[in-house]
Amino acid sequence: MSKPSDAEELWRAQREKIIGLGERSLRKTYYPELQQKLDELERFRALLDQSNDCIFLIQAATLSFIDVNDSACRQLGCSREQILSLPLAHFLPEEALARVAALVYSGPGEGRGQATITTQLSCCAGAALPVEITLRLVTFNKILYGVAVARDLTERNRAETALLENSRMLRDMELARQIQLSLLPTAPPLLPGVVLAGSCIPATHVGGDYYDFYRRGGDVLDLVIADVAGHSIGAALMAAEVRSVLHAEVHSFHSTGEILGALNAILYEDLSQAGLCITLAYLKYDAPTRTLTYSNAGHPPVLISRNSKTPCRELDAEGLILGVRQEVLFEEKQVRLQSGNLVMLYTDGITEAQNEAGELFGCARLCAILRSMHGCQPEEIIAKVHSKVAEFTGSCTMVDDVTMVVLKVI
Amino acid sequence: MMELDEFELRKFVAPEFVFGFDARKLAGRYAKNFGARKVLVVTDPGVRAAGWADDVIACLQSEGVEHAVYDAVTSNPKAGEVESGAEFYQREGCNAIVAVGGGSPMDCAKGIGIVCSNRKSVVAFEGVDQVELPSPPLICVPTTAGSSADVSQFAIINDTLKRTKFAIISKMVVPDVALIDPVTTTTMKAELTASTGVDALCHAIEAFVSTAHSPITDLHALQAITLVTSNLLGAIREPDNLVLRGRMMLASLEAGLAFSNASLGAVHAMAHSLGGLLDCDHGACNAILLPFVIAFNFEAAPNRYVEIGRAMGLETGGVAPAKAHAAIRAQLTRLTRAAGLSSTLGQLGVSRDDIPGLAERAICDPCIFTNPRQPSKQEIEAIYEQAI
Repeated sequence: MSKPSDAEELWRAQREKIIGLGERSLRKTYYPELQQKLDELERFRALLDQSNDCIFLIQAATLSFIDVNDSACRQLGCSREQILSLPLAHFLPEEALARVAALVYSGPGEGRGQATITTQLSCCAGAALPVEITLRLVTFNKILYGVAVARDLTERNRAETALLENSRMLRDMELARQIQLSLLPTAPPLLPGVVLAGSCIPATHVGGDYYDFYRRGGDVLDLVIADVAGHSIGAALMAAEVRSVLHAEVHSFHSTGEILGALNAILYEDLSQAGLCITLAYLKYDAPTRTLTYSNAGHPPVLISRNSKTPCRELDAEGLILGVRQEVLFEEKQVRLQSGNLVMLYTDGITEAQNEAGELFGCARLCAILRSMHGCQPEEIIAKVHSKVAEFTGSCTMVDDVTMVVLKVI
Repeated sequence: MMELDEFELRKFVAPEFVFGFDARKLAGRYAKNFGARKVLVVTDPGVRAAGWADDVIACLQSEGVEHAVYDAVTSNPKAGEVESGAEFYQREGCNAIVAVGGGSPMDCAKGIGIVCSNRKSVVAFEGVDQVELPSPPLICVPTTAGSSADVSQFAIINDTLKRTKFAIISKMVVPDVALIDPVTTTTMKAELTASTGVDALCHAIEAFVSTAHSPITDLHALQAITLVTSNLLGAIREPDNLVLRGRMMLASLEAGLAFSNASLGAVHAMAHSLGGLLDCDHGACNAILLPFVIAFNFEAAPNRYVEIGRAMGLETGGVAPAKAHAAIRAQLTRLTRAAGLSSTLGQLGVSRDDIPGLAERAICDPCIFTNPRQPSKQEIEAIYEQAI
């Protein structure tokens, strides 16, 4: 039960409200709600203006712009008033305009009421902006409008072109790889008293490594291994040139030193022009006498492993890298091989392979493999070296081309 | 007497108004309820000095509504003052207006409101129904008992370039609420009390004889006439008497409701041109012109004038119209003299050379359209001649 004073208070308050003096004794007014809607609208407008896309509202009946966002003004370099005062034809090429008109006339009911048009918008300064316009028909208060969202395609076009070029390049590189592989011997030649194997794996599509065999009469075989600095297209081209020169000249000379001297003289100009140089080891094996003659143009020395017990021997011979000087004399040395001996020609892609700690694979590890594999076939040795190097670097991808030739005296 | 024209179509527009002591203190609550975030307070230096603007500002602050004050308003508010007020409103980011003062700040505030919402110059709104969009919420706190701009659909602005006062007549300038507080009139000087009081009387008389009058406006007009004639001199004598001030404020309100809907006549048309050309005090002009205009109009509506006489407290039963006419004029002259107002235009500095220009403007003023008798330019000139 309320106290009398409470009842009086209630009377008084109710009377106040009836007079219209209550805190909420409001007459009908739309203003506060309108204000709120305006705020919402302003927020929404800011949202649209922040979009990277150009947004246009087009009145269907007149095909004229009736609203645009900030982005459109910015990207077209026009003021809002300019855009709103100019006809669509000012910004759109005829063909695109016809598509807009066709969509509008077909109406929202019939077609899908939507179109995507790839075209160009004319900027006020005169430049053209490549865009993809998505146009949708909408009806507000029984009036038909088109909402056009135009996305700048400049960046996308650029990326697409780059992608296309990349794939073209990739195709070309693959072709180059195939050609380069075809320039290597398909299979080692057969020679009495020896078994041979060779392998060349470029780090990228094409590489600067090369090996080859030239069969001479009287069971004599020439072996060559070369490494053009770098493993780019330039290096690959130069490797191909080395092969051509050798194929042409190899029979004009008999001694390994002379062959290297002639090769250096012929390639010198091209190499110095291209800023490239080549290391190369050239060997001649006379099967009947088991004599190995060798010369070296700055290439890692050829290894000989006599048996599993003695350390490997490095076949050193004086000679400058090809392409440094025009006239070079190359030392020529000989060594006699015995049954069971292994000879390994290799490029520095093996010995200079690094592990995570920055350590090099080195010659000692290579020799250890050779010494441990006297009972094996050359292919097996090559496969073993590949797997050991991969194990050492902790990766299957190589940073340099890797090439090996193994000769085993039976 | 039964007349069919009693029921010609009429419309009555009035804002919400709160009448009574301390009504001004509701300004904050109303501003808040109208959704105001920042209010432009339009006032003038005199009203600020009297403290009423600060009173209203304190109410706004207590409701947490921000404000900015625009007090560069003079009497007979100028179009330039409206324009700079509108710029100030935009610059300050206001979304509502509170006018505190007499007719000048209130008319200026109305102008500011429609300039802001329509984004046009104030002179573009001259005439009847020329305002397209309504003003932002407008709260009026009148501090004089006379202009009634707080309830009217009129705003009178001085076009200083053309040296003419023009009327904006539109339902769009009717305030959203009038907070009519008799307390605010206690600081008026005798002169201002007199001229604004006679302005209210003039509103009532002109609205009553207007060709747009209606039974509802008549009611308010007659009541206003009675209230002014019986309380004006008392209010001048006892400025702090809240009952007399209250009755004068009520008279002003009722006269305002009447004239806002019935419109006015020749007195106001002629006073507007005096204000525009010579910047004369509006109430003073009205007081001088009224008897002469009555003389001109009387024959067109003798019965209406007789009713006015009765409302003024004159004995009109069985009196011949001509006699009643003389009595009304004598009573009016007595009242304005006793209130200390000038009796000739000459005293206000008007010369005969001004008359053609004044008549030219008066004949075009919208107030003239509802005068009971349609005057020619020559007839207007003649009235000015008599009043000089």
